[in-house]
Amino acid sequence: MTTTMHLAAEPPAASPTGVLRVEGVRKVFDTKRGRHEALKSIDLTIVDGEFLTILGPSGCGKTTLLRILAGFEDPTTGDVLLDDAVITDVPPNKRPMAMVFQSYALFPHLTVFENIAYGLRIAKVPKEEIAERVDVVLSIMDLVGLADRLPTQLSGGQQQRVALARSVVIRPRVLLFDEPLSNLDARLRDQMRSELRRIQRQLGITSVYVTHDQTEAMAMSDRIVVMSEGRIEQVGTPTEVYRSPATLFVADFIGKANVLNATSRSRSTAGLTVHVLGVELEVPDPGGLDEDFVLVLRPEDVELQRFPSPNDHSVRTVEGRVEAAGWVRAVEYLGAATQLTTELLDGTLIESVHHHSAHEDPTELPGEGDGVLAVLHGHALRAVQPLQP
Amino acid sequence: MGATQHTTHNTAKRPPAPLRRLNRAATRLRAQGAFGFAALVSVAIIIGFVIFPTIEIIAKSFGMDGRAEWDRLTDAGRTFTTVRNTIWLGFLVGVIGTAFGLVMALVQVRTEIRFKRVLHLISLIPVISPPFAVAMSVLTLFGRSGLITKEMFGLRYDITGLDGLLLALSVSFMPVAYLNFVGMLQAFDGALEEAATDLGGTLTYRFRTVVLPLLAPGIANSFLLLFVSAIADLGNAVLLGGGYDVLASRIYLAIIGEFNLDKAAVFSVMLLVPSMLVFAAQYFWLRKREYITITGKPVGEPKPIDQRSVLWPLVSIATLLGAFIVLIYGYIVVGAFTEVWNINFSPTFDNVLFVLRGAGREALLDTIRLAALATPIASVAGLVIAFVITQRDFRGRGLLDFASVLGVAIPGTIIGIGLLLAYNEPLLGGLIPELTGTAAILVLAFTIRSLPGVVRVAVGALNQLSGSLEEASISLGATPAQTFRKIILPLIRPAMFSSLVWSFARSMTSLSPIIFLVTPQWRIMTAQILNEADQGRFGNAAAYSVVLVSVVLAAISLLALTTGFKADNDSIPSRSPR
Repeated sequence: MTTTMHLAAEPPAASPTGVLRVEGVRKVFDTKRGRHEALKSIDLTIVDGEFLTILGPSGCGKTTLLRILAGFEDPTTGDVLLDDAVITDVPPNKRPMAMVFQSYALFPHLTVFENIAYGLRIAKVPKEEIAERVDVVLSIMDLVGLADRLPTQLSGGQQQRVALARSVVIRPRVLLFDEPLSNLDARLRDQMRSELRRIQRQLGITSVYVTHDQTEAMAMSDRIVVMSEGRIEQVGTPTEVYRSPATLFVADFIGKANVLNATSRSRSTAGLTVHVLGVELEVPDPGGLDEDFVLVLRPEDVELQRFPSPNDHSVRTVEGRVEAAGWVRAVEYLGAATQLTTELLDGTLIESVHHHSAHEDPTELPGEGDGVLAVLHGHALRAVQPLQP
Repeated sequence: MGATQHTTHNTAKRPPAPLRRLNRAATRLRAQGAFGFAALVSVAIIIGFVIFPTIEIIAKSFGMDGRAEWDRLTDAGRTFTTVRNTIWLGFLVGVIGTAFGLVMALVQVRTEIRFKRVLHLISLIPVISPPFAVAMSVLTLFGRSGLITKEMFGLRYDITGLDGLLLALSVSFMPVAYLNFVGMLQAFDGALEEAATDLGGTLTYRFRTVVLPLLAPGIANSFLLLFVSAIADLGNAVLLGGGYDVLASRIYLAIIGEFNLDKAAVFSVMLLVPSMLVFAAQYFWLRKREYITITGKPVGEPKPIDQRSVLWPLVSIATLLGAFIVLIYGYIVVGAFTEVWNINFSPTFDNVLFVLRGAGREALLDTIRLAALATPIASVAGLVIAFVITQRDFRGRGLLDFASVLGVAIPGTIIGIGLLLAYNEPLLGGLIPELTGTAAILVLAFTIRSLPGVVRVAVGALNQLSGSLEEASISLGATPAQTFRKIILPLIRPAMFSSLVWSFARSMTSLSPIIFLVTPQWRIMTAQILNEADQGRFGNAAAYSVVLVSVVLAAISLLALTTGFKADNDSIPSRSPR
């Protein structure tokens, strides 16, 4: 463990406001089809030592934001601050950051050792120290014995680790990751995911990680920044963005969500009374909502009960929950869980997921065509703003 | 690395906005300084040595005396015939040379015959020899008193004229098409053909419906390149043309026979127009299509052709063609080592000794010296231009890219005459001295002719490098200059070395750009060969050719030994037009 301590970044000056800050950053690209606003006024603080993921679909601006942090792109307006100093005009090679690329970008004519030593040699670190520091990362990254190989002689996972080793060995203040796992196959990706997280924790290097893969983001991050169309939709811990999505986009992009149209009836300290599926129900009030909102509900929060004659019963509220009758339209057995689609009498489709345990028989679940009662608990419903115009 | 500026203040210190904007502009300018300089140098090279000389010719042809020549020549029926001949020759060479190249490439890539390696080397012989060396052989073999036509078959046939030109030019330029097709066929996605086979396609059907349409841009491409090369070729036109007038030979006669530069300028413009049109078509229309059709990694190796009815004709044609090339070039060697070529076959070293020890020695040494000087200059200049073209998007990039390969389209004779006209007096108030008659102008001509090829190779090599390599280096703290030295340069070195060999070979073997620039002080071998052949001293001409090819081969081997570079398929860039 002593070796790893040696490698860890120098302790930064206490800075409660965060290591890296983005203030009012906009980025406009001039394209052939006109001007494209890739980032629309981004404010973000990245806290010392955290693993922050920027998550969003392709074209949402996440990579542009990362490249602005690295210095490969200039913001059109706004500033990047590192440890409270403005670094917007500092060229990328003078920023104490290192980037891990999607394609690894290993130098094909250099051996593993030379690849890792590259940044140190540029910084004119003494020879003995270079050897020592490279050895340390080689052992942390599980690359011992591969020092003399060329990148082409390594497996995908090994190349990935060399790319990471090359970046951490220079002890950057911030590590930047540009979808580094997307070139690996599924099994290796899972493995590298936990590996990467372990190494980051061990070294305590502040990390900004860009991905479009929500599972990756959930599994690795301290905090997630969800982006869409050049805007930040929500910043929060994985639990927050999953359990309390701020917008419909977040609810939809991270995990699955049932979306129900609703209108507001009244507000009280207890919550928000809404009109949904023809009945009135009390749901938690997230605050800051205007008149126009929808309710989202995670499929695992829907409870299904067998109900032979749905036609006798449409929708009613019982003790803070809605019970709506309908028919099961589709059943998908996924192994660990079964996913069911229920059509309510008014035509609304409700997705539900039933997770299996050892002491139950999956065949006891309702099948296609069976009548069911979908139970939607008020406290699990979340009012969010619909998609931004 | 280490952390940069630490401030203990909670609020960041920021200079006022206008100052910051100024500062940012200054930073950017500094970062682009080197790039801007490189861009400036590139533009200067191209304007000074390609565009300016060409404009000089055009200006000359429309000058006072030039206009009179226009009037006289356009009235003459012979001029019309000359232009028609030139176009017809270009067309036929384009068709025949492309067909030859395609057959040779198909045999090379898609069959498994045992001697295909030999065929490959044979196909490359014309690349390293002066294109008109063939002409002498063709004359002695098939001419009026040709060994084969008269001696063997007793025919009263004379190959001079269109027949001879077609034969000599198709063989000489076939490698351009051949290398082009080998590259394309190798990059072919075998999966495509497999899919067609699965769908029940026979071999010929598959070739017609899948292979041919994908090759179509390549076919058009090599046709156009051969067209341009054929109409520009001077040596063959002079030696083999006979009564078949083409523009190249009339330019030669206008200058060498009549000392009439105005007339030459007018013919040059007539030659320039079809060359530029064809080149523009190739550049704007075909290059893009070629990239779209053949991209990415090949997935499956295409199966070799096994259907006999297809295999046998292909192999037979290729073998015959190979044998013919061996015959023609072999016969030059015979000529170099016999008393009187075609008449007295007693072996002798006199001819070769004439070149190595006698009057030819000067020319040999001058040529090697000047070509060796031009090669690194072309490489560095080509690399700078390629770097500017690939580095980033900027206004005028497309124009620079176009202009950099323009040297291919402008016939060598025109480059030569252009340089002659442009630098026959001091320029820019004496900053550039008069170059006509000096060695510098010869080096310049060599450099300009090699430049497009080097630029193509370097652009290809640079484009292969993923941009993230550069960014990775910068992200690890390296400056752009360090990145270029430590990452980019080592990675493109193999390609650059092969282009070095290639441009040396090209300088050694080129005739048309230097023919009007040589002086008694500075003799160039190709010009000597033409001279000797023109005077009927074929033995000496053959000896020159053999020595010249040996020098080129020696240079290739030397580079191969010293740099560990493999003299393989990759030694000659497949996509670069000759």
